[in-house]
Amino acid sequence: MRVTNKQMLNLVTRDVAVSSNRLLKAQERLSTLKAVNRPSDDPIGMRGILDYRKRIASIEQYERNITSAKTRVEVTESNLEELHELLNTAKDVAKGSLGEDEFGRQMAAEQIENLYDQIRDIGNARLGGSYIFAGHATDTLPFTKDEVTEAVTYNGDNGEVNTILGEGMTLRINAHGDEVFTGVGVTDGENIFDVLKDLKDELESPVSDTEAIQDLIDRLNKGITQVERVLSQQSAAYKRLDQTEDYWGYLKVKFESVLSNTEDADAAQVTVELQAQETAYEMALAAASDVLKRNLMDFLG
Amino acid sequence: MASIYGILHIGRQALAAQQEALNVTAHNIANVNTEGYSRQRVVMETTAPITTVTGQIGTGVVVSGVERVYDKYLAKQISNENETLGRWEAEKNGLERVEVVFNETSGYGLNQAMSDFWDAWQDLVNNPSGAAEREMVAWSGENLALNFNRIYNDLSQIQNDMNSYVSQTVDDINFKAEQIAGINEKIVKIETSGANANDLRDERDVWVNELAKMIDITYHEEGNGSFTIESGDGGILVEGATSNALATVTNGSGFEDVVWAVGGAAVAISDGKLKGYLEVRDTAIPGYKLDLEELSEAIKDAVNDIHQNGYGLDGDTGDPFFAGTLAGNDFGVNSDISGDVNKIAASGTLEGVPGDNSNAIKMAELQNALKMNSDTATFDDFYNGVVSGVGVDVQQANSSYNHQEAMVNYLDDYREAVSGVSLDEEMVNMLQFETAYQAAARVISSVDKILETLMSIV
Repeated sequence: MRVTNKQMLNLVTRDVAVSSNRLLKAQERLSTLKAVNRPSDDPIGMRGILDYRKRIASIEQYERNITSAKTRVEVTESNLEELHELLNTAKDVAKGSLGEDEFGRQMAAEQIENLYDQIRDIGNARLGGSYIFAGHATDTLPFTKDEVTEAVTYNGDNGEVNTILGEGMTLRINAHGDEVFTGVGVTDGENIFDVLKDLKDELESPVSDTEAIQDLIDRLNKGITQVERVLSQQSAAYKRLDQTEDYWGYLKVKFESVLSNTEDADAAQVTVELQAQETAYEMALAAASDVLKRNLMDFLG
Repeated sequence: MASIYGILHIGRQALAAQQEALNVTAHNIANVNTEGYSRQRVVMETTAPITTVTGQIGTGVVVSGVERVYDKYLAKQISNENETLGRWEAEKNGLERVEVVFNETSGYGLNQAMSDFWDAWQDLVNNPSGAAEREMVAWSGENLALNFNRIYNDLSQIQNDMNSYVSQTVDDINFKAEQIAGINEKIVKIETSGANANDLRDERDVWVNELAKMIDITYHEEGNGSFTIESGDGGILVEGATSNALATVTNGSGFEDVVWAVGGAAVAISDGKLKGYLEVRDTAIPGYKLDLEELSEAIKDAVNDIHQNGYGLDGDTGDPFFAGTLAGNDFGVNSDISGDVNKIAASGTLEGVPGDNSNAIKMAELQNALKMNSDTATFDDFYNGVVSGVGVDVQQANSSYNHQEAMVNYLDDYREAVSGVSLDEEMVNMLQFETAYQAAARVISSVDKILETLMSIV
């Protein structure tokens, strides 16, 4: 087959072009440190990359949700624990009042009144501008006391507040006033405020009625159990939040690793590749200059 | 007996012949780098011998013609492959631009905007009455719409660019057709007088190949040497000295269709750059735009459905969250909502305001709802499929182009091998003709001596 000058030239041009193309790609990979720089570099891989990114972003959002939920549950729990303490104190006061004289009982009644107000304050606890025990009516003061009758009314509702833990997974994280304080809709429920008010009234009466006090102590116990029930629900919710947080943390690391494997270029590998392409390019150029120089005229006279 | 003047005549003819041969060699050498040049050779023949008593005596050499070393079947193959090369080149360039528009590798594309949108709703779940969270929901909705609009409009822009390329290419085709017609005329004139119009034929071949890159053609040579070139659907582009022009006419979508200038009949195009541009403009991009429209409408419908059944902080219900359409260039967040974020319906019930976040939860869970592809894919899956589809299309165009380029290169090399000028070869030829010339000169000087001798007898 005849070989002409043009052919050799064309060959040289094409080889140099191919070499420089590869060199450019290697340089791109080194500067972005990504193996996939456009969808066409790896269409299937690209789909995977987008999917993993989305999953990681979702997980990060779930983690944010859990953090926010945990704060709420912690605040609720600590309030409930304080409530529990106060109720036990009330019980002790009631027990201690048995066998006390009128003066002693008057003192006890005052203590109970203080506890009454403290417990109402707990009921009106806030977190970031919203009342945590009000159900859905987060902007309404949950417990108001009528000045005349001294009765406390619950102004909230029994809405449930949920948080999103994961795909299709929600968790209830609130405790509303009815199930904690007023016992409405709770089996064996007890209205704590009524109990304490009755206790105060009983202690203020001149005649000591042991049976009535006993009765009220029983009712207080029911109230304490009520609070304990909610406390254990909250603590179970917290555990669930913790576990889910760990789960997401573990999964996120896995996804990040898979994403990196698909998307990222190994810096060391890419550097070596770049070196190889540079060498190849130089060799193509050297071969070119050699081939183009020689012709018959060098040898003719 | 041979006459002395006969021998002189032979010498003189030989000189002329070798000189012509040198001329052609020089022409070859000069054109070693000319695009499309086919090397030429002299054809030398012996002149008619004379019959004498002793037998036939030769009368020397004459150059009977200059011929071009050329394979016409190869030329047809080359122009065919160039058609496909042009098509893939145009399609590849168009699709690569589309790929850039989707911009997903940087992480700031529609994928991210959708994630941010669902995340904003989840943040609202965590604090349904929070003003900052509401602003964030409105902002991320607008950002989502912005990204949709950006991609859609960028795609439309590429379509417009492809459209201008179509117009430009049609003008280019008309120009080239005219050139070929002109050369046809010249070639016919020269060849009817018996000569070979070698250089003009080479020139015409170059024009034909360039024309082939633009649009699919078939051609054949007429008896008188002119090319008749037909376009793919049989219409005549060039016949003898006349060329028929193509024109563009605006169609219903506002883009240019290619028609014959005379008669206005549509031209069916199946290869060449025109085909590439038309493919991208009329098939590929509209496909992607439709996908985007489908996705944006599905998101809008699903979001609005849930939003309109929920309650905002102001106790109102029934406001749609998204309004407008991509195609109508007005897709965005309902201006009532962006004007007053209290209208964002996080609550599922009127009584539940402000602490109820059940509607926001429903909204956030849309991210995982199977609403696309006949209820088998999520919004994200669908979009990821579109992006991956673009990648596949570009990859395919790239590999078709590379394959085609290799094919054309191979054929070009083969053509070079047949018709190309090798300087080494021409050097040898030059030596050959030089020496022959010297020898012929010797013949003449030899005859001169004979004549002298003869003169001196008398």
